[in-house]
Amino acid sequence: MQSIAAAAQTQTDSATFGVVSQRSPTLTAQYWNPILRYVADKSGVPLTLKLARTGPEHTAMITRGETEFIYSNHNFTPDNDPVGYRVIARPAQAAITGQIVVLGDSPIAALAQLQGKDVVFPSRAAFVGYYVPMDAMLRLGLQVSPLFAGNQEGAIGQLKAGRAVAAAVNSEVMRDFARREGLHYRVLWTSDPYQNIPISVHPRVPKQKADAVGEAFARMSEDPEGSRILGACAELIKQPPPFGFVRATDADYDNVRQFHRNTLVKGD
Amino acid sequence: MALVWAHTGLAVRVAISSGALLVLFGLLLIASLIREDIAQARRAVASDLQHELTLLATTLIEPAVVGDYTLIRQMLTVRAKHSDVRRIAWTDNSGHVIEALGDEISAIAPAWFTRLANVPDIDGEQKILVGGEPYGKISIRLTAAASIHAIWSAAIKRVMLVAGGIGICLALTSWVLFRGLRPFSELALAARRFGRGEHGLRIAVTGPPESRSCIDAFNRMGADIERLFDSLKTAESNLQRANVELEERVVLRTAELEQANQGLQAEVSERRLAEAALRVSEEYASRLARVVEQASDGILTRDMNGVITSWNAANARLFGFSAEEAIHQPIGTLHQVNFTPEERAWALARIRSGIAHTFESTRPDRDGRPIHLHVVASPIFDTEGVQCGEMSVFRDVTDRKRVEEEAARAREAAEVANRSKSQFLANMSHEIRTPMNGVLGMAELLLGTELDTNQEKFALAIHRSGTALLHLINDILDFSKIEAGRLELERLPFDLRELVCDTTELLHESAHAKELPLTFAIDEDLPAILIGDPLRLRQILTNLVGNALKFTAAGNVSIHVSKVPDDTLLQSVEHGTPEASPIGLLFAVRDTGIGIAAHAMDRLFTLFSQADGSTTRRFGGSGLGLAISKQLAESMGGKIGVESAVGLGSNFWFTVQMEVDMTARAMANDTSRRATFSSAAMIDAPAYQTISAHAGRRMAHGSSLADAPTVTERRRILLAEDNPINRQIATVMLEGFGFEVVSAVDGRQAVERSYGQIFDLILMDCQMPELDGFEATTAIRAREGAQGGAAADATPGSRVPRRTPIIAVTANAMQGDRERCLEAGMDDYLPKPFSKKNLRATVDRWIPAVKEAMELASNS
Repeated sequence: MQSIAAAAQTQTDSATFGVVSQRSPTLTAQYWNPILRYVADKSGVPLTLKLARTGPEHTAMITRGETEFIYSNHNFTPDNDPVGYRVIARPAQAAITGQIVVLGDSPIAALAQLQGKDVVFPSRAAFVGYYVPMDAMLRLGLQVSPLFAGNQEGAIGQLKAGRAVAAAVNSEVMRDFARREGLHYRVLWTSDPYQNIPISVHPRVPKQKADAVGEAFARMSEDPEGSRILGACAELIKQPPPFGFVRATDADYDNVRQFHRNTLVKGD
Repeated sequence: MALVWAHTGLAVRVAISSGALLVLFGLLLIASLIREDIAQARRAVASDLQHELTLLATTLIEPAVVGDYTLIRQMLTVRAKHSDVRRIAWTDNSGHVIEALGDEISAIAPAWFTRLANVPDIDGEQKILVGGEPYGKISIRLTAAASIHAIWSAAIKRVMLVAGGIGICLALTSWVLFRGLRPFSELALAARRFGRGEHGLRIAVTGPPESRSCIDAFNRMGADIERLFDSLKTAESNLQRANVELEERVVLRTAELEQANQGLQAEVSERRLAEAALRVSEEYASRLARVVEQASDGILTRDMNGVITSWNAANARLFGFSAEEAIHQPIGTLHQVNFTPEERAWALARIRSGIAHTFESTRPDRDGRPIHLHVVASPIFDTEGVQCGEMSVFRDVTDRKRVEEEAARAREAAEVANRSKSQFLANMSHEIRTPMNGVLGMAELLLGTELDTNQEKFALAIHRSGTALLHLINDILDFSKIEAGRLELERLPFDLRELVCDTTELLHESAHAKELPLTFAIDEDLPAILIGDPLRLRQILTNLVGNALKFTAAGNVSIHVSKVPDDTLLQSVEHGTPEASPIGLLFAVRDTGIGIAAHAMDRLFTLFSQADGSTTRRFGGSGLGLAISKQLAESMGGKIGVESAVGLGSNFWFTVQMEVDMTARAMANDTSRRATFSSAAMIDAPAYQTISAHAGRRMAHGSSLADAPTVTERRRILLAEDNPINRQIATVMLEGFGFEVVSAVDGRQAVERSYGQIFDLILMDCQMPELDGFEATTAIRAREGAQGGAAADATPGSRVPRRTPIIAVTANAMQGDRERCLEAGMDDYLPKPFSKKNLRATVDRWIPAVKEAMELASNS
């Protein structure tokens, strides 16, 4: 596996694009491959999707600076911040929030009832799926038994299967999943809003190349062909509009970095 | 082989044949099952390949996407354990291959069976695409070796099962047969002994039912034969007696047969005669049938209800229906023609009338094309003379009809063209009249001036030529009127004697020039005043007399008028009214001229014909005169004809129907005295009047006109004429008469000049620029009406004209032009070209001073 990654990096013009594990690798690839092919055509920078099997592996990839571009928020942790990934674009949707949810027919009505119960999280690296809700529960003095499902939809799947009484998830992923799968759920707690996961670039990538990629992402929704691809991909995961990306900078994610510095949650 | 088989017992034969059959069918059954198993194995391996590819593609997607090659290798190794997998591999985009091989299958089936089964390994590939991005491909090779081994094992078991079954079957069959056939051996032995004379020998009945039945039959046969031998002796003696009786009976029968044979021969000869007669009759009928069948006309017969009973080949060709289709059908049903009840009733009545009918009809053929037919329908009677149907003979006259229709169309087109031509000629003659007026008028004026001998001769030549041309134009115009059907006859009272006298006077110059006496005679019993068209009557007479003069070099020309002696000389006989009774007149013009050959007389009265082509060169003429005369005579209810002999002369005659004016008879009698002939001496032959040469000469030269006295009181005439030549002619002529002439060059100027001035007469050309003669007349009459002058009629002779007489002067000489002028408010009509004499006569009718002055001058 290492040799394959190295081979990809040695290609002169190509760049790898790491995506944080929110959904199954197959669905993630189905969603991102058409978008990356479009961006590659427009920017002239060939992009190869790079997925990790789990959140920790994704975090490790970032720590190693393995991919030129990332769609991730794992780079804002104090451990990964020094790697130097720089924000170039973000999704056009509104800011995301973390939620602690239970099934619609669950007897649990308040956070306090989760004391000592099994609560499922996407992974220890998930920002609004783990850091933010766990920080909130620790600050309320609640001790829960955490389970980790690997990704956001995995956590929701385990809640649905009854492995845990509650799940901490990205509110947006939760909403899309429920719409797609027809799942009824109730929200116990919602975090402050944070900008959605951004697209960042490794400092070794030349600025011109980084800007070309950022511009291609930002203009995608204005182009009929780009808009069609975005619509088709969104339909795949039942993502509501607005589709596409806008240009963004590191400043838009200062509150995320701030959170990581002050959180009571200790990462692995 | 055949010898061995001949000595082989029945049991062995059955065992061999049934055993062979069982083995054959057993092998076929096993082969068929193996074949089906192999086909099933082929389908299964193909199906398994697709299934494996789909399954692997689904399971390998996720490790392929995350690049987990370890997991991929593990999954491939697990799948390769399946018995039917020979090889399984994953190849990524960079060509890196991960491969797993299946276990070798131990051989059970022999190699020949595997080759015979021929189920090859099968390969398949499946690409993995996620979100349109290729990640690699899966390759699988499956083998059917395990299935082949299974098929072989099953085949071995089936062979063993079938072989065991056959063995048991054969053993059981052989035992039963051996036991069942043993009594037959005993029977054979007994039969041999019975043959040697042991007729009392019988066998014990044992064995299966078939052998018991045979033994029982043998025993009964033995008993029967024994009894038979006993009765045979008795029968032999009876037979000898019967033979004697039979011979006696044969002799008797032979004599009877000879007698009967003679009778039969006589009957046969009679029958032959009858058959010969029948053959003759049949041949005749057959010949008749062939005649009908081969006839070129369609022939059918119908019964009394109109149902077809026979139908020949020509009908089939004609209508497209075969005899089979036509016979037993009513004709209407066959043609699908919806005859009305009346048509059906007529057809049935025709059939039942018993009378032959000939008519023409149109019927559709099979394709609906109409065929025009000439039909002869005749009744058919049976041998008793009772009508039993009808025979119709159809002849296709479609072509003839078409030719007739085309001819009719051509005729109609020709008539239309002819009428167009006539109209054109009428128009042309009008256009010619205007300049002719100039030519003749100028020539006439020229003759009125001082001329030397040559000049007078030339001027006379111009005048004569112009006059001849004018006659020709008049002929053409008349002809065109007749052709166009526009000739309308007047119905006016006239003096017959005056008419004849005037005509002879007119032609006297010609007669005088050739020193020919021209005489006329009118029967005394003819009334003086008749009603008819004097102009047209004069035209015919002038033409005939003119011709007579033309073609007569010496002798004389005479005219005789009498009552028609025979109504056959008339077209039709008119019936009179209280005011007028009809009378037929016969005019005869006799000459002593060149005469006409009999063969040429038929053509004389046709258009553009003369007696022969040379006539035109010698005597001139258009050839229209006689044709027009014929038309005119016929339009007046008469006929025209000629009797002639070459070198002796001709007698042209014509008849017309006139009316006798009963109310004017007295006046007519009085007028008749003016005719310059004596009727007192006429008893058998008519008396002829000769016009004096002197009088003719004066008339011809027009000197009487030139020398006419001038008007003492200067009368004023307004002359409206746009053509400067014609204006000049009229002005000179009128001034010559002593009038003061004021000219106007168009209708507007005429209206203006007539305003505020008094004119005794207005001569008005009809076709002028600005305002034409009709419009100008209307304007003048309107103004007179406003001044109160229109109340008084303008009548010839008014001294103080409160309403100025207007005379139309026009080249429109067609029928109806005069009426149009009068309707516009004009009072008289002078057609162009006019002579000095005509002009003066017309003016005289309206200015009496001129007339009086003339009369005064002539008396003095």
